[in-house]
Amino acid sequence: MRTLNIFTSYNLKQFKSSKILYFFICISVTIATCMALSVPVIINTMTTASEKSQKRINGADIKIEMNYKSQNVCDKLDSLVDSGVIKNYTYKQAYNASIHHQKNDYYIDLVTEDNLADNEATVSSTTAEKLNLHLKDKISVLGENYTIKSIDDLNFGVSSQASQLGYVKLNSKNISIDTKPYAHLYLINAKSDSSSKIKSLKAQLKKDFKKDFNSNCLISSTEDVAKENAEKINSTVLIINMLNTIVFLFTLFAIISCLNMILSLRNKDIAAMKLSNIPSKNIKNAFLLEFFSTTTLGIILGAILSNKISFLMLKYNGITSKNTFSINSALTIFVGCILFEIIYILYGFTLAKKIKHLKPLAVIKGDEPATFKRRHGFSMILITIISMFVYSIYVGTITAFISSVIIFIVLLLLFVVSILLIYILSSIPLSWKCGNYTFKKIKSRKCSNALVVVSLVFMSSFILFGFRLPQGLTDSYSKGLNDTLPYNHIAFVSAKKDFNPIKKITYSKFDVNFDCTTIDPSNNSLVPVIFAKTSEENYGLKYKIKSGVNLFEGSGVLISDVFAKDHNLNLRDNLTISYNDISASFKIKGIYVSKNINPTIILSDNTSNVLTDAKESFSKEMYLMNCDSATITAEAKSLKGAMFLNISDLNDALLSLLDGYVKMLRLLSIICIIVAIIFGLNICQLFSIKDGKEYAIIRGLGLTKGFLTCSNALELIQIDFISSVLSIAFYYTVSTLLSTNLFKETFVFSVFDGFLIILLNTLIAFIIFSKRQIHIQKKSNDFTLLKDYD
Amino acid sequence: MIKLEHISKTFKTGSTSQKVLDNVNFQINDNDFITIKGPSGCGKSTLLGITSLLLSPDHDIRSALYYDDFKVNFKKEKQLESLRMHNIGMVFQSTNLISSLSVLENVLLPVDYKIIPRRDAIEKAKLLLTKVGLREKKNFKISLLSGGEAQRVSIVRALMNDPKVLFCDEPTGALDKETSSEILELLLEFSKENNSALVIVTHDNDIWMSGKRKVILEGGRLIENP
Repeated sequence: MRTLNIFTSYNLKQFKSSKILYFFICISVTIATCMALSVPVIINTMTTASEKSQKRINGADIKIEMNYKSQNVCDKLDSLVDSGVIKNYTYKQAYNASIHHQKNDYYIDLVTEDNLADNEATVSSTTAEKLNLHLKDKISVLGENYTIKSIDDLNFGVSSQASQLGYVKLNSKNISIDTKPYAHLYLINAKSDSSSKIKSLKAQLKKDFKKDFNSNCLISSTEDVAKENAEKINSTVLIINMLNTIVFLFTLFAIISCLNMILSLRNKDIAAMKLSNIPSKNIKNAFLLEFFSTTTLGIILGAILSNKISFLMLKYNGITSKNTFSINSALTIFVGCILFEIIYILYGFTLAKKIKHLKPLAVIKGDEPATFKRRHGFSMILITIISMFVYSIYVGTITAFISSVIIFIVLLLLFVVSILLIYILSSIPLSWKCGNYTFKKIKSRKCSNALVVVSLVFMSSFILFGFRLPQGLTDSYSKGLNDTLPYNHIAFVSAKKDFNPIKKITYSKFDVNFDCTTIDPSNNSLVPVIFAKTSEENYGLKYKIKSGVNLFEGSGVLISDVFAKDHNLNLRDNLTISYNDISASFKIKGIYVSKNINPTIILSDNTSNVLTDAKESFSKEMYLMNCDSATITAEAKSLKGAMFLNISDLNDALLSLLDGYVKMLRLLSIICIIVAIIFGLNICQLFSIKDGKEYAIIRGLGLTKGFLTCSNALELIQIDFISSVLSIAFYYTVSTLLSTNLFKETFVFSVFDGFLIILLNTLIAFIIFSKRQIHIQKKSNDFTLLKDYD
Repeated sequence: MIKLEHISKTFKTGSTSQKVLDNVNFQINDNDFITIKGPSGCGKSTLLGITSLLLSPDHDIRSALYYDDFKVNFKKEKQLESLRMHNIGMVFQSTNLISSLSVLENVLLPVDYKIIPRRDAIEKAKLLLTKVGLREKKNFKISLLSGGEAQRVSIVRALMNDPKVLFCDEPTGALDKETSSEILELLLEFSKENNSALVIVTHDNDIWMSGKRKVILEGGRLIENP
């Protein structure tokens, strides 16, 4: 009751005077809660969506994906249908192709789907998103037009490559492509839906087809799809939660610093109340009531906004449910609200202990009480770690805790490095009065300045991750391709068709046999290969040789680096290549760099042997060209059934792997920017309040506003410099890790990105500190601050 | 009513320590009017702080502080708060009024409505404010009051819970001579009316001389009625 009296008579009246600080607290709580509450809704929706579609994603109970068509497999499956072991199976093929859209060609996978009518197509959601396609839109594939009948929101019954790079499904009657399918799919439906029966059927098929399967063949069941989905959900959770943790920690810094400042500003009031014999408990509880009314408002606003965030995140992951709101999600959000209220209660209680320990006599004498004891810091860290753990239980996956800990450690490292850099730079001895004063001041608040630096580093890094990283990865991958591949266009044309590359460009032309096989020496399985021969005058563009000799030196064949690695082959090994009843044995004389593009191509010169002499087996021609797309004539492009592949399309296709993550990063980077600005402004506000008296003292001593302006600018420059250096280092490190792990390429850091980082940091630092400058201009000669008493 | 026995107080800063009070024995009886003076830094405020239970003395087996024969345990915060609430009123040189509240709100702040109902508390506050000539300004913000007026408000606030002893630490230190006299008269009047003891720490010799019991604090030791 007494607490309520104090709250109504005193605390309620303080909202107006502390409105800016409470605004920061409320908005920080809103952002943190909004992000955090969206995560479990995203996980639940993704899990439900994938659980409902496991069989559809796999295409059937069991899917076999092979890189060649095996008659033995077909016969065996037919016999299993006849004997009633399996209910039925469907056969599909997957091709490399391109889609023509808005005057450009884009790489896609083409998958057969015989349920479609002749003029109908189905596209994957990633392809539709990338090319802005909608239902009933017209698309052009292999020179023919089709109407989009449906868009698969998840990847249903396609090859693993198609599910990663995006696809179009057409009726197999429409596909007269001058190339062989790269994958053959057998979609098998078991007699029973029971998971144990499907598992044992899978084991039986693996055993039956052991000799037909090579290292590139895959067999998957719905259980495998479930595991894969679970991994994908985990990756999504990892990324979202990393950013969630960053947002939470920065908003927490803002909240704690604001609360601390509110308490500091009210030291005298609290002392007066204590001297008026009001018990500490009542003063503390009234303050907590004030704090919780703000956090409750923030949590409610955050809960409302979290629906929008989860909708966007799900959309970026290919789940386009219009409304993620349901009874379950409402309950989840309610529980989350309670959890966050408890977390903020704990922080509030820890800080409010200052009220109990405040010595009123010391305050009225003018002694500055300690703002933050070390034990409070340890309590805060402990509460934070426990909160992250409890949050991961709420979210339902330990991945959330792991990602939070990773970010916490990275933040801590950056924080420590920032403090060190600030300390080192501020230790430079200066005879210049302003510089000396500034450096001493910076040293005394190195922790606060380090926090500002860290927030700027994260803000600028995430802007670049969201908006520049994809381009950076593309450029790095392209550079890698350009440096190693002699060509940037491939064309596969029927040997009977007339195709003449433009005379002025250099090219290589190969006669190609798609129907050859070899035996993998490690497991004796059959491996399909493409046998390509050429003459010296047609070998204009030469492959880069990794080891061994060039194509027209010595005798033998060249194999790709990827092929050599996959099948454990070395120089001077023998390779037997077969076509129908013909076999020829070759020595491996060289290994060429393929960058995993058509790695099964075996290159041969025109030396006469049973294989090269079998002219009728070479039904296709392969052209390698190095030119821009416009140079390839319209006539060549309109060659029906011919497949033209622009290598740079592969960049786009590969980057579409990251598409969902990049979009998430973009949205989350915007949130990070807002948080960083709020945090920076908050720190600036706190500095302004704290520095007010110091400014008045300095002015009272006769120093000018110019002195203070110079000091402010010097502090700004130091923060800008350190944050720019750290941002560049952080962005480069993460980008290099991504580029190396995803594409096995060194990341190429562009000068423009460096310039952008510096510009962003300078801009934000300038905004933050210009606010302080306004304070200097308006209030630094407020000499009433020099009085000790009210 | 309040008894101090063998009280000492040492302040430590870093490696140095300063003994401000040395084995002080002192008693405050009902209706006493005690004035304390001494040179700057002699421990007057410290003595006041310990007596008003805001500071704890050095730990010593012999030392003790009694409130109505009840021995105070300085480690029990709740006990100290309760003793302060029911026995003590404090007035300082700086008024320590809360600037965002009005005069009436400042005066009502320390009142526990479980002990004095709100309506009665408001009436009492208005009565006291009338006595100090500030009834018309009861809704004024503190920043609109003069120094003397603010000090009068802080006196009224200190009296709201009917304290048995009123401690004043240089209550007129920031005021001119005329206002200081007015404030002193007010304090004496209130202490008489409420049968409360009045203890004033002061630099002002005139005020010191007006005390019934005059105390000098020097070298950490108390000299009474020198």
